[in-house]
Amino acid sequence: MVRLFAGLVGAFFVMMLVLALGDGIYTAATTKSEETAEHAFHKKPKEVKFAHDGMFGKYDRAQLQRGFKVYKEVCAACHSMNLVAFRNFAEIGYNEDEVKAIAKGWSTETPSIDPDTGEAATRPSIPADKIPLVYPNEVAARAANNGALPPDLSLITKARHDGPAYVYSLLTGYQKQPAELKSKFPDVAAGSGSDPRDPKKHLGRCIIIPILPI
Amino acid sequence: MSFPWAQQYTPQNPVMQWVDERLPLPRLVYNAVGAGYPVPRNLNYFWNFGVLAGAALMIQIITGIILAMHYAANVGVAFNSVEHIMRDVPAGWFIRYAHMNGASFFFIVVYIHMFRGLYFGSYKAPREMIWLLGVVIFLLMMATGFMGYVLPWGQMSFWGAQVITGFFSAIPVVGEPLRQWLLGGFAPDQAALNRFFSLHYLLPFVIAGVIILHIWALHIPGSSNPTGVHVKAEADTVPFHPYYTAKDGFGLGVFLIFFVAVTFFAPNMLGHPDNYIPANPLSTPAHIVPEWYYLPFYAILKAFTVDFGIPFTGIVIIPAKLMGVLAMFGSILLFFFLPWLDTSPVRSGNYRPLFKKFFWFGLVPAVVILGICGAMPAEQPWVLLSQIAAAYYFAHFLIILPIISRIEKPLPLPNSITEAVTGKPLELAAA
Repeated sequence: MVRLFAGLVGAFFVMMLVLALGDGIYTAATTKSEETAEHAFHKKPKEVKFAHDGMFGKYDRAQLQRGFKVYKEVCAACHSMNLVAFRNFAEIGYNEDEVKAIAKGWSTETPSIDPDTGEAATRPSIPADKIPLVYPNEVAARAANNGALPPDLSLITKARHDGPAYVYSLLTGYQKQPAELKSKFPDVAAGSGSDPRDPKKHLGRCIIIPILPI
Repeated sequence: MSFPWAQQYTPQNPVMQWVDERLPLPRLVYNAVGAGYPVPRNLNYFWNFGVLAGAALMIQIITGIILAMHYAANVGVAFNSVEHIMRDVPAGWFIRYAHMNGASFFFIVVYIHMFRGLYFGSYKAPREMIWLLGVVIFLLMMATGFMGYVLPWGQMSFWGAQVITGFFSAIPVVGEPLRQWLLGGFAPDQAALNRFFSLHYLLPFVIAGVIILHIWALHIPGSSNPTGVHVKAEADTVPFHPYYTAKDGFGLGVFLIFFVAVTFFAPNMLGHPDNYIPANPLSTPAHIVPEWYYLPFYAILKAFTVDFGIPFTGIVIIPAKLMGVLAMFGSILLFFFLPWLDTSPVRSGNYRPLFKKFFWFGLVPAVVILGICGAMPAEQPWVLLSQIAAAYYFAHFLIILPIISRIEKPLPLPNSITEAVTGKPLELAAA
């Protein structure tokens, strides 16, 4: 009885899968598949090697500090890094005084309250503070960036496939929007920037021009 | 319980003697995993994976309890509390990566353990109850793993929860109300996160309880073995301690080498980058994929693309989505019937030429293809491949296995375990 029932259930599932298979083949044979912008223009990240690659890799502190300098002077104008505290910069080789100076001199201050009136205010950061947000909230960020939201960069290399290569390719890969994109996919072209790997991303609104050597 | 020649517990130490007379816990341990448990002498390394699964569960419980001390199950702070563990809690990154990869390794060893059971026929009489309890453990693990993946409240957490709880909405009439009741809302939100956290903390202890039953049931007939032949005499067995404690200890060492290698050097290899983006109900990821260990079942779900109905009338009896959900649950629930589907009296696949062919050239490739297709977007040729593989998967268990059990002519079995190992008959070897 168990085997009879199992056989019937099995035959039913197999029948439905064979029907679905036939349907899939018929659909594939009769309909022309439309090319999407993602398929046509998607590029893989560039090959890039770092000192910290592999099992015995070590972080190159000078390189990290140069990268930090680029972030501080260019990226930080729009992109926050709110999960990182100033004290964490000790880990890339800055001493206590330097960390204090970095915190104090940061372009945005840490939110606080006025000790006399209790009103919202800001104060200079200390090493224990997280790097302050650039914009107080998402609406403000979008308003200042033509509707685009600059993502927080704390986890950017973990949050993308092949993260470090992705970031490197993005920063070094800016180009003019290909004419083909405009002729073939006008909708995508209108809403997209010049990120060569993902034409759907609204990177055109991002105005980082200087690419410093990393 | 156990064999008549099992060694008796005789404590030498007066303290242990005192304890044993009042609470025979030392005796229980001795008879369960000590010298009091006679085990077939011919077990191969596949028989390590039960102990390894137990070790993986212990790793998960210990790291999980520590994580729960620092984690906050609130949609506003859950993501940042995980990053707080990674950045501010001493060794928090290690505990969290160990827990994350520990889940994957738990599934790896359990899949190998299940593979062992399937190939060597460990589910057959008199061990059906061990197998049934094992399937219960597997289902509990899948529920626990899913809920754990939701807790960091990243993009894949949120959208995975959305998709998986969406299975319930495929049930006719009551589906959507049921889904809302389970989630405590229209979409995954605070209510869902809180109850998932509560259940994610509870279920591992339920698993531990079912494991105790699983081991209890194991000790009634004793362990199976690669020949599938019953233990006949003392010469067929060795005491669990020191023989298999040593072998399992070695296996545990090898397991831990792989585990720490991944935890330290490629901790995010088995995860998905999108889960490092905070959950955003307004932005759907391009491809929602579950954790790797659900991929074969996810592929079965996606393989059903045609409604079941009366042809040319447009009447739909079972919509494709419901079919997919039924098939996906069915693909696991069929394990409950396996002992009665495979009626061959020969346990070990080594002595079943026809079974062996279908196992290696049918079932194993089908599961691998399903796993690959599960990770791929719902495009051709992946859908076609998954349909072929899923059809074979169901046919294998529900149609092919009962038939080959009838028509197959098994190879001659050794007369005893001892004969299989030494080449000499049991009586001679024992003498």
